Amino acid sequence: MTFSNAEQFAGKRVVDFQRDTPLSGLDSTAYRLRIEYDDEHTMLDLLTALLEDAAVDRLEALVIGAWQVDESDRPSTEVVEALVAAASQLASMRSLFLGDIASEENEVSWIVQSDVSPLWTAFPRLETFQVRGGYGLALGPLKHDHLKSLVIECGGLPRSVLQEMAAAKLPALEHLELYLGTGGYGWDGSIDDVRPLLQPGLFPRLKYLGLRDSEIADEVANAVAESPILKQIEVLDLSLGTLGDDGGRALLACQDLQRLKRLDLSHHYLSNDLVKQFDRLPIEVDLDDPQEEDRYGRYVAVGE
Amino acid sequence: MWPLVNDPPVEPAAGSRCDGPQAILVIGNPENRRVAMFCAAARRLGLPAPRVVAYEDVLYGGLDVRQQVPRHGLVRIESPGENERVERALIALGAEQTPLAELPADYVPGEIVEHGRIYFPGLWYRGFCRLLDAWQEDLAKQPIAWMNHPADIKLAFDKAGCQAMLDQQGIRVPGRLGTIGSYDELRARMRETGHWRVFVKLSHGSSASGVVALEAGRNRICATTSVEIARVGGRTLLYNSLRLRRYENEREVAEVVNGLCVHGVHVEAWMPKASLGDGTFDLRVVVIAGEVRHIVVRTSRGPITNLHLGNRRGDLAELLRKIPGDRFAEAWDTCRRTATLFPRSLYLGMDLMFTPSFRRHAVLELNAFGDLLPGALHCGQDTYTAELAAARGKG
Repeated sequence: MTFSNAEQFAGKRVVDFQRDTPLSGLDSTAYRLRIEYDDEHTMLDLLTALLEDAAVDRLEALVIGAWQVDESDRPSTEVVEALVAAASQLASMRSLFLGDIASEENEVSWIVQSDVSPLWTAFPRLETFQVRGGYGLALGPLKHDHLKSLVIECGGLPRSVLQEMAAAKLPALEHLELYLGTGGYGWDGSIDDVRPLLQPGLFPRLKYLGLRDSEIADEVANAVAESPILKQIEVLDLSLGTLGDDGGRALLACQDLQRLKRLDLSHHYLSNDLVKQFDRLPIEVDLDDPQEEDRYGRYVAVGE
Repeated sequence: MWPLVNDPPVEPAAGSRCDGPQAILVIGNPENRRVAMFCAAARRLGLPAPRVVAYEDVLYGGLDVRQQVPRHGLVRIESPGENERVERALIALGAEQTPLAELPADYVPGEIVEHGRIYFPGLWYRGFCRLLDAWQEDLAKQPIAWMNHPADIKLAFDKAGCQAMLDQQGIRVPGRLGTIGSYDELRARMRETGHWRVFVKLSHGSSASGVVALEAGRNRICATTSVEIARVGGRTLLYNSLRLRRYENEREVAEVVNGLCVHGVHVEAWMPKASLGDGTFDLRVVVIAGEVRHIVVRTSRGPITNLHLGNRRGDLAELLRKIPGDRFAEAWDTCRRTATLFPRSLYLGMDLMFTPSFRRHAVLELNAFGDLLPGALHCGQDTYTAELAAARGKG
């Protein structure tokens, strides 16, 4: 699986910001800042130009694309600092995507993120935060009263980020989507780092839980099935990982599974027998993209 | 009569045939679909059946093209590809042109080579150039029209030379890192020039043969390529596979790159391409008689877009709807401008890419035989029909 650039973000159409074109249609448009091959300006130049636009205080959704093209491993630190410094001008910003970088621009596991925690205090009204790249990523102490959606896409999530999530206070959080990934790309956790996220009431408004692209998807499914989280959420997304019959059986054995509105298991290693059992459930189940285990084993979707 | 006649027109050489005013000669591999589709196009337009000269007869039978050329006729040079005997003869011809001391150490004259093996493309190119030079010289004084001029074909098969020429003429091409002799030299060049993502390509390869997309981080390396390595009796042999592989082990990456270096490689910056759907795309554009005609969208989930690697054609109409029209207008202008640099050829295939924001575009490669686009129509005509109609229409 490869990552492409977002065409939609936070319900808005993504448009690349051009320095000579004023912002427009802000109700329906998310603007993306990006650096491309042969650009002579920097990401900070681009942000400065954006901030000079008279309408920037009405900008609701901002997408940060590739912030450099000359090297693979410049961290997002400067970008985060510049956004924080611009917080008063970005007063209407409710949605931020940090790192909308296509695989064609940089491998997801090569993107170097940074400590993004200054954003939480600088943008107390932020509702949607999406980040691509797990390397170098830190959420810090995460207390935020308005954040509804948090998405972390990566090749492998550091366990430290899971620990930060488990300690987070996010009373408004409805959508949590984490790519756990593989050891080869930065995953250094275990199921013990995932379990704390399944405590009931940790995120009291949580409706969507995505633990995607996991090489321990069977263990994750077992942990989910054992936990009371299914009594709370409406959508469980275990897609893109290595889920097989072991995890599948645990889910099927769980009475609360049928409380879900939707179960996403796409990109799975389930046998036909289990696929049929899932198909018979009275809820919506996505079983697309079945995989075949080869002699080397199973693969997650990101990094095949 | 065909309008694109060599000039100044002179009296035909003794022995040349006298044919009708619309006679056409194709030099190609008669069994190949390219020749069949071209002849079908002539038929469709009510033109006399083209005379077909087989590479095999030229290379093995000593057939003299001069004797076959129709007076005032149209001459088309087709790809010599997809014919093993022709390929072997071209390589042998290239070896003949090469001083013994410069011949690759493991070149074995007459060796039977399995399909897919990357086998001395440098010698192949030298042999093909020998033929093209001879035809250009032999036919220079004949009253004929070229559909594609031998010198242009030579340049299109020389990736470095072609990009340098385009660059000099102000056509944007990916940054050029030049030729390199080894993996270590490549890494040093990447550091010097500040490129951490590059394409390594055979200097004279066709389509996706021997192409490596290479990314180098501080402690990481990744090569995506169709090249596979095999070790046979102490030799490292390289093959083109129909599947892309990723090498993340530096020893293997170096082995692939060093293996390609033996045959001559050209290195250019990997300019990220614009997204389409869940992948990226570039365009094959065929310019005929100065106009942009056939366009095929080539989508890919990986860095290499050639269609025979399992990639798909994308929907041009969808793309045109999605992207502001002036971005395309600028790009088509570049294609037309590129074609004017090859005034002796009636048509030219080029690979064109857009950057992710569509703010810029670049010409990636020219393709001397880039008009094999089955099913792609412009004004109801396939490439071959459009080329012949254009050749005739200019008269």
